[in-house]
Amino acid sequence: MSKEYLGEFEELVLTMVGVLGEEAYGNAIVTAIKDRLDRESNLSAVHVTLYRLEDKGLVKSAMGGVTNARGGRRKRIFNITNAGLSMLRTMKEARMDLWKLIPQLDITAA
Amino acid sequence: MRQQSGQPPVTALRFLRWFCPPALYEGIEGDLLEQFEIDRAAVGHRIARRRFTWQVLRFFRPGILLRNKISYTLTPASMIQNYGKVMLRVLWKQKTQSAIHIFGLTMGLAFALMTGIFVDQELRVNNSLRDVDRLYMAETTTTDGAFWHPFLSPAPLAAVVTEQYPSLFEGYYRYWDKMITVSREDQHFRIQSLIGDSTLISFLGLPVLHGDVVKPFRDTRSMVVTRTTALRFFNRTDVIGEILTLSGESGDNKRYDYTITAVLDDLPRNSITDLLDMNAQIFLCLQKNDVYKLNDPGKWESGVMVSYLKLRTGAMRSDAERAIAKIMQTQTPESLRKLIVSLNPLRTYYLEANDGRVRKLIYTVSAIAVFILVLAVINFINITIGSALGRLREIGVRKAIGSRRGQLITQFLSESMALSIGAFLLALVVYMLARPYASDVLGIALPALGELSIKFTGVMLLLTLTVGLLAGAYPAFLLSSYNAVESLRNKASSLKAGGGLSRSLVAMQFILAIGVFAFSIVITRQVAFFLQKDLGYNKDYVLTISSVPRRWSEEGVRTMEAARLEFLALPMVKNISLSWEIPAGNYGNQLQFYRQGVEEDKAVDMPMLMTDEHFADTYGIPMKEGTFLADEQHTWHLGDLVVNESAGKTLGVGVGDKVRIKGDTVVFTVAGIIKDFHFFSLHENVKPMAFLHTRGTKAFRHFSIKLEAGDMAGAVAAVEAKWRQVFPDDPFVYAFMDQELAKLYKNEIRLKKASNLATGLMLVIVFTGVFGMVSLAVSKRTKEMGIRKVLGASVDSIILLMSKPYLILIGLACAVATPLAYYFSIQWLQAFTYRLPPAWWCFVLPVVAILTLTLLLVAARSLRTASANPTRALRYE
Repeated sequence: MSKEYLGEFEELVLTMVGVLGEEAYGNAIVTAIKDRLDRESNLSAVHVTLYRLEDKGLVKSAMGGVTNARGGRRKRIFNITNAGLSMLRTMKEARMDLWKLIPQLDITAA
Repeated sequence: MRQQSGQPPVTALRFLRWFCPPALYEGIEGDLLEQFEIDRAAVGHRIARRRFTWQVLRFFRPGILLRNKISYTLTPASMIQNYGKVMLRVLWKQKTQSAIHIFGLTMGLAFALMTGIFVDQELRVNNSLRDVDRLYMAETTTTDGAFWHPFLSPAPLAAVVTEQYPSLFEGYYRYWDKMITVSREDQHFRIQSLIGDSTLISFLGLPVLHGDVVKPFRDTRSMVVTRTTALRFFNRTDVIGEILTLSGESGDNKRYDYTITAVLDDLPRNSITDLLDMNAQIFLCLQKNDVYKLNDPGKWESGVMVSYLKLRTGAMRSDAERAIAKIMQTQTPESLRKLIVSLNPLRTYYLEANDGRVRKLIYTVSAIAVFILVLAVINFINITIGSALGRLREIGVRKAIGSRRGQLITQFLSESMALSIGAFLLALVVYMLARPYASDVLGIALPALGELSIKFTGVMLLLTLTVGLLAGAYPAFLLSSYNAVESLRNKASSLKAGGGLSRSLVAMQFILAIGVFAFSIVITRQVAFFLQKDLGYNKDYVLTISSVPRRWSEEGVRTMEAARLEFLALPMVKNISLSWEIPAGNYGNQLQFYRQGVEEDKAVDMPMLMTDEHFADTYGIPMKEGTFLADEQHTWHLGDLVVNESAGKTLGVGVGDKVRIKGDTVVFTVAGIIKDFHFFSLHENVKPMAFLHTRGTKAFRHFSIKLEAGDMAGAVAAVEAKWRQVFPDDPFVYAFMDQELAKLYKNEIRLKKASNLATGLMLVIVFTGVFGMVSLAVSKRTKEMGIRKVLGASVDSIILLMSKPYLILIGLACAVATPLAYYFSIQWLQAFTYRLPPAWWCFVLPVVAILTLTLLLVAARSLRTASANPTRALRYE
């Protein structure tokens, strides 16, 4: 697991897939990033990232049901895999470990 | 539900569908459409459409596109692998047939490669000269049809016309050529030199390695040499300031030191320094010469030079020729007014000179190369059609599992392309191995593989692919057209379509082979005729030495006559003659002769040869009347002259008559009339000629030594040893007369060798092809043969049955090829004044040879099956 490395945007998209659960598809992720983080992201970038995560086995995808809203096109729904979850957890823990080191330095400095 | 105005841009959608991987397409399109609907509600239709397009464009990125590639190649990769495997299996299964068509293609391509290089090199002659499109050679003809070397024009013309019409002419270069003995310490070489205008380097843009580009001829003793010359004497190229010693022509055996001021890189082939294959290696300046007895190039009486003119950009050739004509008519002495000087563009000069001899050679050789390729392609097609039966099942299976016709065509085409590329690689190997031999046949240095230009290799590769396409196209379209069910049932009836074509292609092969065979016989006979025809003199065992020191004075002549006696004392030497000319077409002077008492205007132009009185004996030329300059009864006088029979007739003179030269006061007496002999090549008729004694003209170039038949090498060695003793400061440069003669027929000999080689190749290709087809037919008709035998057919009748189709084809081919070959032979022979009319057997022999070989081949191939026990044949699969 430690060999794998996720970029910042990849991690963000992966997290969003986890957050959105059954409703995680391209547009929804863009909207979620906009709503929750107030950050503009491009649809194509999100798609490319999703496919890359899928290649790494961190998410998996399946076509959703037919709706009227999208000109009859089905959604490609992404689900976070166990590997994806553990990746997120490892990264969070690693970051927390580092984070814990910072206040000590701050204290001595202050 | 959808409104007309509510649609996203169609083009953008179509674009997305084009580049987007199908697996991802629906999800992406859906997301885009969803966003489009949101946008439309929020910001209106127009902006939404624009945003949609922009979004589509943003999807056009590697992250999406590359996924495309991966998902696409997955399936074809295995398919292509399968194609390759099947191809190799088929090749392996029919080893003979595969070997035949790969061999044929390899030979064809190797021949085409060599021809291509040859043609490329011939076409590039002169192209490296500076401003070659504006360079012209001054060419001269006469109004009265008298003979004149076209490349010689009056000496001052180029300078005068450039000076008087500066708006038309930019510059000029003229030269006299001379063989000079060049020495350094104890090294002596005879080297071809040009003594010409100082404009040499700048005018022609010759490549300079070292030294002065702008003004190489600084003083009277400056010389420019080529890289080869520099290496020859000094073993290095940077030899500026070094000194070489040149022999003069003054008769006192004086030598002159020249300083090298510039070294040229080896010159690319061109019609200036390499005119008439002289390949000049040193260059002297005309204007600053005090060594060689040259006329003043500024005077009209000075004779003729080889001249080149450069026109100004935009100047018209017709205007320039008019200016020349004007000068020729108004400013020259009376005697030159009958000359017409025209400008021949150097760009095409090499190809067009001598009635386009080189161009015709190029055409002929290219046609032969194309023929050979055609034969190879036909083999390929025939064998593929013939063996199609074996592949029908494969096609059926492929079709049944969903192969489309296009895919099958692609498969077969790429198979033939792969084969021809393989053949091309093999051809490169063949080229490498055959290079020395081919260089000799074509008479040019073929470059090594690594030296081939990229452009040329590209063209050859393109040709290879074209051949592959041609060879594969018919089988590809034919085989792929079969109905899947019929193919699976392996119905032979569906194969009939190929048979007719196959037969007509074989007929074509026979036509080409018979035609080229016959043509090649005609060429071979004509060349042999050239070299064996009775030339009116005996060229056998005559050794010519061209490096005779040019001591052109009375004393010099005496020295040479003394030297002559020394050589004559050698046991192997029968006779020896000192002369300017040898009978190989080159002569020194052309004068206008007339009989005394006839008007001067009726004077006839004729070459004036300078020889001693032993010339006729040495060359075994019989006299018609009188003596050849001198003999025991008749001692030579200054005014003695000999003419040949033609000249005697033209001038209307006999022995004892008086003859004069136009513009001269000397009266000559005809001492003898010599029988006509072929001084020039057999392309031309015998011309009137006159002979004067070297003792009178005090100029000479050659010793001709008639040797006893026998050990030639020993004789040459003996003469050489004597030479070293008599002329220690001069090199010994010799050739046998038949070698000199062969030079006259260089192009014809090249063509002969090329066409003989081609005939051999074509026969091999045709017969391997026929062999392949017979093998196929035998294996297909094994059962039939068995049944026939059971019913009582004899072995003979079966063999006859098998060979019948070929008999018919050869008959047809003969009917077409013979008249064609006859027509082209006659056309080709037109160029020669002396020719051997093609005999009937020239056209019968190829037919008989091909017929016999084909029958033998068919018999040999079918005999085994025909004579075997019929039960075995009947059990055959």
